[in-house]
Amino acid sequence: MDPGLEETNFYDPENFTYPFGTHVAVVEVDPGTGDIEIERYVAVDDCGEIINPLIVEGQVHGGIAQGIAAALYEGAAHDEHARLQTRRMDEYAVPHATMLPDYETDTTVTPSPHNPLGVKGVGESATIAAAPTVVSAVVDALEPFGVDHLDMPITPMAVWRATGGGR
Amino acid sequence: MYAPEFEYRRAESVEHALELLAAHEDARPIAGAHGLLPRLRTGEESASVLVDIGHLDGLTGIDERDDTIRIGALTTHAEIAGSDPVREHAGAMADAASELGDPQVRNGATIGGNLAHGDARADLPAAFLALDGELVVRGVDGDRTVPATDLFKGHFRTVVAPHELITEVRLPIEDESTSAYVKRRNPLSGYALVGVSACLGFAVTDDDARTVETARVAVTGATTKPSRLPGVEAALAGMTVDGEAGRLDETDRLTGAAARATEGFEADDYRADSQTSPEYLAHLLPVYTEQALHRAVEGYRRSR
Repeated sequence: MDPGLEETNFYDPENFTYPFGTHVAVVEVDPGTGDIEIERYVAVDDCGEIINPLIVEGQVHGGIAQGIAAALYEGAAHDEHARLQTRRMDEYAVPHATMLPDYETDTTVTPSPHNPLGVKGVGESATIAAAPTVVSAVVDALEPFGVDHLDMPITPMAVWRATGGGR
Repeated sequence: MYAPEFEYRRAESVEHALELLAAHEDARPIAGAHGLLPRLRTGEESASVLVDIGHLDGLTGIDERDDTIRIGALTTHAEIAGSDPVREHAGAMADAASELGDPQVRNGATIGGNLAHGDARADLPAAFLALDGELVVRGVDGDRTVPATDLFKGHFRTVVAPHELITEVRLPIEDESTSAYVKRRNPLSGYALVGVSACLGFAVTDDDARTVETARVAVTGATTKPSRLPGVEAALAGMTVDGEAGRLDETDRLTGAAARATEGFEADDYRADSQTSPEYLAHLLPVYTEQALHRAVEGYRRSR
């Protein structure tokens, strides 16, 4: 047996961390075409002490993109024989940069008491926030039409139908 | 997915390309390769031999003579979008070329390939129809011309045979005319969900008013094949563009003309996908037709 030194250590945090934040979207909806334009998107996230701000900002940007995509674009569709109709990149709406708004981001820093660094997760914060933020904004915009619920993705055709189109 | 194996042949001339295409059943020409190759990969089209014509001399460039803009078949979308003669005399074609795909695609994809491929979602067909262009198509037996109205037979179906090559696209230069193309991008594919092109020619009357003498309006994307919109064209004929005083009235009349965009189409004539129904496309078609008409009229005013 070769000589050597070996050490194994486990760190078990005493509790979970709870990042939090608030996202707000301002949307404009054209009932004529069903088009939805995100005029402003403001995100304030709190992931505790920030070690690398660039990575945190990047996680927030990517997360918002995924949340908006879920809210407005991406949807798996099947035909009447349960065959997937959205198999390819020209059948499934992954948003391009041109389909997404500018983001206004900020952070508050509330250190976690449960670990020595005071850090919390940020990986999924923006994804979780963005989808309901955008959906709520669209539903709010369509309140004059008596709309109080829309399923995701809220496509332009869904808006057109919800505002009386096709009837 | 990878494309099935095919033989690659590099043509040395147009004649050589035509020989290669005639010699191999299931041979197809490629130039920019942005139309055919993706469909080979998905298995929607097949080809045992690809004849590369992308590098051939004499099929590129934009030339203006005899009241005609002549665009070599291998001219890229980027070159067309940036061409002064095209922008001045065939604005709809410049608009359409600038709307296709992304810069990388526009720098590779060619006008001949686009029109020969006959993708019913492509941008150029609407402009080509509205501008009333024609193609020069070469086969082993010589050249023939194909007017725009004869070209499109359905989605990926045109009258250009697999063993023929488009060599030139001709667009007429008309005095006192204007054209425009507007597009609503399909968020799924980036192709036109609805693309409408309008080309209007005016007669100048004694009091310096302008009356619509020729009106050609065409749709791509929304329908199973790129098509002219005869109802809109009929409604526009004889319409006077009255200048500032008549603007409000003009808007009403353009709206009225655009409302006839769906004339002649049945539900089956519209394309549909997981996020759009024929009814929704029939709703959007007049909306974008109206935009195209306004854009064409405004462009004419600016050019006067």
